[in-house]
Amino acid sequence: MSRYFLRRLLETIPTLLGIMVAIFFFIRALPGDPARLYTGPEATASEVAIIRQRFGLDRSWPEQFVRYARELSRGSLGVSFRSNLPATQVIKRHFQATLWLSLTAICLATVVGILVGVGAAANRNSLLDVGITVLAILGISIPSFFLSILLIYAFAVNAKILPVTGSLSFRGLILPTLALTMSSLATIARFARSSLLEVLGEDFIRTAKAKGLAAAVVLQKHALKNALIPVLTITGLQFGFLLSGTIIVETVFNFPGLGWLLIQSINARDYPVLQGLMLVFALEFLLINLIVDLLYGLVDPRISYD
Amino acid sequence: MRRFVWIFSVLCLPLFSVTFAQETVVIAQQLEHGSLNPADNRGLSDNTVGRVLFEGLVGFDRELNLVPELATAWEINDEATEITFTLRQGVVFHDGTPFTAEEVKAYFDWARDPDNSLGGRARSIFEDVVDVEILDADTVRFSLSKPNGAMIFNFATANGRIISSHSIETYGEDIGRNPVGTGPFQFQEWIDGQMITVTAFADYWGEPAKVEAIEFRVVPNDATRIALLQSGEAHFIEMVPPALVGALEAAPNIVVEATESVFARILPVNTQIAPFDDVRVRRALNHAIDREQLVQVALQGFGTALTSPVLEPVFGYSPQTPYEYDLEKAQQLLAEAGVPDGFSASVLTFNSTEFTTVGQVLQQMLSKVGVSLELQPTERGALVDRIFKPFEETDLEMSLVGASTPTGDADRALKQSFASSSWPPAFNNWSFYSNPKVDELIEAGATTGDQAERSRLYAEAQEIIWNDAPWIFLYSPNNIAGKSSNLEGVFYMPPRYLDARAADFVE
Repeated sequence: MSRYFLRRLLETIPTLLGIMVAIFFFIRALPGDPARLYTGPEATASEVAIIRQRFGLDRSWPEQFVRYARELSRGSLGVSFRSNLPATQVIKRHFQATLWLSLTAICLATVVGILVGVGAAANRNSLLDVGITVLAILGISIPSFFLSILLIYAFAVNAKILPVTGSLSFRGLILPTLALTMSSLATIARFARSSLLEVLGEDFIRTAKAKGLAAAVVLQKHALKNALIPVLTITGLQFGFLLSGTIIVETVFNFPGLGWLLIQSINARDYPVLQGLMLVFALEFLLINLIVDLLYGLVDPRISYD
Repeated sequence: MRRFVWIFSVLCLPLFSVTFAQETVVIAQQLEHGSLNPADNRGLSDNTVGRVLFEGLVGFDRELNLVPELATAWEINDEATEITFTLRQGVVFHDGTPFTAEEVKAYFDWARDPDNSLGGRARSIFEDVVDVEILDADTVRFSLSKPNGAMIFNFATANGRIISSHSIETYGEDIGRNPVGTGPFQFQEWIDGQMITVTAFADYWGEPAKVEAIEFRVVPNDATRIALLQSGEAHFIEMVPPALVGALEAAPNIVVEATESVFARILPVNTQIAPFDDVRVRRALNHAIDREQLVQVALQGFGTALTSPVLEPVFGYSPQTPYEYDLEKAQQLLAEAGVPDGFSASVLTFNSTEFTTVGQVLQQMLSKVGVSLELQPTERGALVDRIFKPFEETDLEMSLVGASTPTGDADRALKQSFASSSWPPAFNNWSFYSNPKVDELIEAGATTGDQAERSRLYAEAQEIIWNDAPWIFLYSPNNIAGKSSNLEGVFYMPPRYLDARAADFVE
């Protein structure tokens, strides 16, 4: 198991190296001169030249690449053009914000989603089931920017009980979490419902019922455990998706996360931060894939990695 | 269970207790802050924060007239090669060090130092300064390498604001995050990408600050800024989109203020290529535009038609005879120029709502005289790449862009857009306009210190340019701000930064 894990970790290194090289050149191939964008429309050519030199953009691409690679080997991503702060520091702070937001959103989505899905499945074809299904479809279909604006107007502008903008505080997390969690919650609820219904139709459930077990025990002890495996898979996927930063929700709530940072960095052609962000996103995906693979082994004893 | 409900209620309490500290003014800005080093200032948001933290030797009033700040008087010699400032006494920096003639020299020497990579903008606008001399304790003289009658205006811009030499030594590369000026507010905190907080400075030499603190929050999304004002979380918001003014004004405690700006919306045409090399074609295009309707459709009326290549709040402005909206005249001019059936041309423009809307309106207006425009809405970075290509490489026919005059002086306005030496990539002469007489007038205006004479020279240049029509002159958009009705003393300056020094809550 640990040998497998180590091998997988080592395998990520060439992938990351490839991404590092590709991103470096892709970003520079984009139209847009960071020095011009930094100095603004009123800048003279001499001023742009001063800034280009400060950013190290007056050197050739190979020279820039060597410098970038050397800094990276020391764990540094260089200095952000936009903010003049170390890019690692900028990314770290925004990553923390996104991590917290994603964690609260995914916890809410998982707990409420499973409860709602199970409630619907247990009361199949009842009014509750129909209501939940309709709400779930609504939750998946409603665009997050629209939901965000609705939440802001309901709770911040009219009721004035929560702040308009999101932040890393209890009150500041509520609205962005709600806006962000809705589609994951609805997806998980629908998954839980259909998965549970499938399991409830299996032979071993009939056997359990035939043994005379109470309905609640059948549901909790026998059905749920089996039904939750696919639900956990989808939860992992949703979490990975949230972790890359959610551009729309973060923009509307002015939430300082990775999505927000990505937009600002692209607008400014902030090469050091963009390079760092791409590495972080790539790393996230590699790690999540790895963890999901390992979880399969834990959840299903038939899968072995030795 | 009852205990749980009780605990839950207590936990929820902070949710419902909404308290607004009336001593802190919250301003929601559109653009991010980059650096609070005045020598490196380039963004409007930085300029707004800098305005409350720092002072220059001279400053601008609301109409962009020069007013004394750290200098009580100034004198320009007749040749416009020397500016002598008399300094204010009894001024201290936020770090307690006194403001002296040595401080003035130290700041400008540092900002102009070619080895100082943190002085990009200041170095370029004070390029002509060759020496800063301390004559006595309260007199400083700036010597220029060549006559420059417009130089005094540069001292009133963001880059002419002075920080303490002690802070430059202490913070080095981090000076942009540790500003120490002489303004009525001092720096307190900067949360990167989110907000900057400043607090009242007790030892300020002038009228003391009327509020305890100001929070400058960065909120790029328009709808979010508006919600912040409506919910009462912000007291002043920048850049209200014209389409949303009506909705904001409907609220009882909110006031919308639209004021004149030094921004122009223009359509430079490449005067070096056919058919635009014929002045009759360029005049015809100017006659084919209904500017009133354009402003109405694109900005709900929040703008004014251009009346000169120089904007009204700018020193040296001289109004010209408007190109009246006259399709027959336009058609006649096109016929005389040999293109009676019109032509088609590409228009490079930004992909923002304002520019694309204006582009579509222009498309429709010009189609009436047979001119068909192919709009090319382009992301800012890509547009900047294309528009700054030198003439030999350019594919520009027309561009729908903006121009502004941050220094508030006609020298800047005319030189950047119309001097032969300003063809891209050097500067912003996107119409590749070249007229020796105009070059001469701009040069003459710069080389005299006599401001009345400068005005006269610039008026002549404006008339020539207006008649040569290297631009299709469009309009100047207003600066539109929203504020809560109990806030006073915060307003837009024409160059689109805010002056919040006198911020105050009134009943």
